[in-house]
Amino acid sequence: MRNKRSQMEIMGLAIIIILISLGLLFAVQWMLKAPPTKPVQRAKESVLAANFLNTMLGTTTDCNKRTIRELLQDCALTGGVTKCDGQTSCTYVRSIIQKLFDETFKKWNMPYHIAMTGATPIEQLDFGTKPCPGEREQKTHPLPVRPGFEITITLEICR
Amino acid sequence: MFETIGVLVVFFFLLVGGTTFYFKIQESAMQKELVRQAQLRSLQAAQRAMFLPELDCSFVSIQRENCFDRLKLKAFGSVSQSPKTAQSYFGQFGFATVIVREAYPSTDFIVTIYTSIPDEYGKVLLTQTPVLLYDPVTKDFGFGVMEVTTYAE
Repeated sequence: MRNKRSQMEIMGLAIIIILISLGLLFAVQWMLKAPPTKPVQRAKESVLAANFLNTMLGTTTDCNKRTIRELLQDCALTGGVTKCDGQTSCTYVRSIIQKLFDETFKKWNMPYHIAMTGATPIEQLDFGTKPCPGEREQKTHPLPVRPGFEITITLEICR
Repeated sequence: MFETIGVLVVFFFLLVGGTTFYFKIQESAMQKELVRQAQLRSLQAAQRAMFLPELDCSFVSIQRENCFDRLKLKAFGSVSQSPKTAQSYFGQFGFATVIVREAYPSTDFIVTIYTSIPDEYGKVLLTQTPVLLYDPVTKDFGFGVMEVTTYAE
């Protein structure tokens, strides 16, 4: 009789230990689970990056009413023959683009990185940003300069 | 007798602990879902505003993407302040505030195109997107930012 009772107690203890272990396992799994990717946030950043590039390129500047697109093309093709306020088109367009970033991403405390490739004068435009160290949302905009010659503008929004 | 009471105490302790933990997880998941829904509404409102035919830049019936006409914006801004107009756009934007401001070349152009703020709200979500601001008089394109603020419970 006594032997049977102690067996029952051991059974009870075993059940309790199993329950606690299951609970702990569940808790550990929940805590270690990586934060889910936020698709809405990603969509927002993707739209923002694409719209920024489109809007930026279409903006008219005070340099002979040229758009930023035209100034970048001029900079890539000639190295900055067009003069704007005593500056070359390259330095002028750099300052305008920097102003746009200051009014948007910098104001919103959103780290970003912009890179332009395809022509030496364009690649030398330094916006003082470093490539994103981790996750990012990236948009690339090819900009034709003339047939067979195009530059590429890449905007990264860091997370 | 004492053993039975001990077992019952441990059992109820585990039950209460488990239930509390479960409801905490549920609450946190629900909060995340509410924020996600509010973010989605904010994005939808921004997209709807971008394609409002009342504000678009159209050239010979061709709509330019990502662009607002400054003159239309000004006119719309003065009309949209009336509660009746705001009510007619409620189905599209819900509880939100939509503002367009110029960032380049000038920074003094700012128009509120829609506003409807609930009496009580918990979280405020902001969606910003750059837009072109076309001036039909000078034919220039300015760089603007559309800010959509949505209010979540």
